[in-house]
Amino acid sequence: MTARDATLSDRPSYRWVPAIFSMELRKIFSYRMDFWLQFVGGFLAQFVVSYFLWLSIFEFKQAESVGGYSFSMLVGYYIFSPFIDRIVRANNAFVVSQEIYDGSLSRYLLYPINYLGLRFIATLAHALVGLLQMAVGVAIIFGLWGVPEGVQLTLSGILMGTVGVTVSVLLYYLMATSLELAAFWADNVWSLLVMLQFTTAFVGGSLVPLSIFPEWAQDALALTPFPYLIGYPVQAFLGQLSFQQWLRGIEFSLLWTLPLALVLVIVWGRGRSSYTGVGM
Amino acid sequence: MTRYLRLYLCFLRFSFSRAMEFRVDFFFRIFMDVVFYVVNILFFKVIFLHSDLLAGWTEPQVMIFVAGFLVIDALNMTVFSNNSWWLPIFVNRGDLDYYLVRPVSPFFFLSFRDFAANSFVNLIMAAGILVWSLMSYAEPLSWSRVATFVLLLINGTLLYHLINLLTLLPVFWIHSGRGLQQIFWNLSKFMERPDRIFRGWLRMILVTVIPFSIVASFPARLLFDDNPGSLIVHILAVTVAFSLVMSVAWALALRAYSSASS
Repeated sequence: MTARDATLSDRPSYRWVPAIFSMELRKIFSYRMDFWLQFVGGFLAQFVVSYFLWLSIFEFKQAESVGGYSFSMLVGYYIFSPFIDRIVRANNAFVVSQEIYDGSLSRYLLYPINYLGLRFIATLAHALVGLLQMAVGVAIIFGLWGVPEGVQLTLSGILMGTVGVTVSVLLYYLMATSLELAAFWADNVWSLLVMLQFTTAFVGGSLVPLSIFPEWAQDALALTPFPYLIGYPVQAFLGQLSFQQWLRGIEFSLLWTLPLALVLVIVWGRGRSSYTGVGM
Repeated sequence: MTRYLRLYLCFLRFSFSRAMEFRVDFFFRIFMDVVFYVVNILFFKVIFLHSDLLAGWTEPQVMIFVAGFLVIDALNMTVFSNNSWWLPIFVNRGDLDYYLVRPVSPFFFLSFRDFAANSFVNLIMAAGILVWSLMSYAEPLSWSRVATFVLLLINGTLLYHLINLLTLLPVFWIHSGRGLQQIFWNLSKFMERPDRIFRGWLRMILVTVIPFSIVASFPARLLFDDNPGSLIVHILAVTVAFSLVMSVAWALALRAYSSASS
């Protein structure tokens, strides 16, 4: 072996990336019944509940708008938010903690691949499927029902929304995986992830648009990564963000990924050193 | 009956001692439910910043409704939730065999075996929220109505569990129950909103075929409606109908069960 060959073999190889991506896609589609039930059921329940809640409020108030949203704009909001909620939480399958508990994490530690990178690629596969589901779902709804008044569906909005939701997936992945790595020390961590899910739904803009929160709460939340998880990509898709607003949001989200990634790497390092590989 | 009570006491002792072994999980689950309670209360507080009434209810009335469904959720998490989670796994792994051969009702064993001691702490908190919401209500409430309300919340928990089990039973035939369970959790959102926001055929479904609106909303209406008699009859009729459907479906499911890796 020459010195050049040795240098080439030391280079990190990323050929596993497409392999993991396609394997994850195959896994998702292997349970087709569950896949479609979750897709339709998840969207319908969240949309219908929110639709009737706001219909009742608008009918009682006889108001033109609430929190800057007309009723038809809210309908548009709740068409997108269940899909984006699902895309962002694509990672929430307790896979990492399960692999720590049953000891199957050991095999990944022996492979010449980055485990956290592998899990993120798997998350991206789920997110891609979620995006396709959203495209199909929104096309069907808008085709049957028409585009709600006030919703400006433009190519630039779709592009900004897609980039925004991809950054949200990264943000959520960093937060959720850091929590899930608590499995190195704790007996059960699903409750931590469910806590994150509840918090994200409320202060991330899945349950209600954040503009209906009191001003002080909006200001406080704007300093956290949560509004950029769901509400912000939804606004981008609806055409409510200018390019400058969108860019500022992306910059802020990416800024948040730095401390979150640092936390993840530290927790991973500490956890790996205490990992015994025998399962719990 | 006494035998079943003795058996349930054994379940309780075993569940509490196991909960003490996994202390971190014990506290995580308590915090998880606290977050759930806070989110639900704040959600309606935010809604009432923009409206004085929701489906004909004032904010204190909605808070009683919210406290009601938090109690139902806590009761379900304490008594039934863990057991429901394990049912599809037992069916697919063939572990159901161990429950079928025991000299007690498999339905009783599978529904009550695991008592979530950590959620019991949350049940106390949810009950506290309920007491607070009732005390904060300015209008007089008779003791008989409050007592009936509490009984109907317990009935609502049973009904909620029955609906959950009915969505899990297809696992005996299709072998993958997670999609259906996900649908149940999604549909549970209907329980968390006042029934009168829904209308037309959807409302008809929610108070009969998929009776999530009956679980928590009807008991709260009993406190405020002038003539609650028809509500009680409605709730009891649906509960009886679901119990009958459940007993038939359970018998059919056990007949379809073919042991290991079924």
